[in-house]
Amino acid sequence: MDFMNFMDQDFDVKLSKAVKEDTMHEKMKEEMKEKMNDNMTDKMRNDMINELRPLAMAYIPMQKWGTIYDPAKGLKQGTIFPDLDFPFLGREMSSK
Amino acid sequence: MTEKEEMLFNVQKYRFALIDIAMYLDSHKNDKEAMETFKKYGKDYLEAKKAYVDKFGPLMHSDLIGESKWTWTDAPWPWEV
Repeated sequence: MDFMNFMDQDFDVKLSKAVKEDTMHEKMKEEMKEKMNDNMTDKMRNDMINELRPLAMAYIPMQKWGTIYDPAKGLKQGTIFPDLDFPFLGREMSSK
Repeated sequence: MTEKEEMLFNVQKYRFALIDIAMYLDSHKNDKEAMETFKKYGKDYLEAKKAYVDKFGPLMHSDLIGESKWTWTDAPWPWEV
């Protein structure tokens, strides 16, 4: 399986599957097998996946369905997704 | 807000929600919750639009399909409201 095929919403699911099924790129597979275990938390897994991503390859995490604004607020904000609501402030953002 | 403005706002807000959910669905086509929400607001949109059109006239040419008379030019233009 080509590494690029992992770049979608089921990234880590496919990654774990590929590791188990031996369908990954040899070099990555070795690295993954070395580090992966069943007791890993989601965060550890994500950190590891991030570490293994090649340099200079852009990646946008897939959006997940969550709560949405009511339609009136959505129209005002320009998005019904609170996850994507980043108003332009004209200054540096501090964490929420 | 006048009644007319309020009814137009209802059309706009549901229409916008539909567009935003549609873009989400483009990349998550099997998301059931998103699809349900799309259907829910789709129904609200159609109802809001029908209510507006019945009372204040067409918003798009297609609102006149099924009419016997061309009323597009009867209602005030946006800059006349």
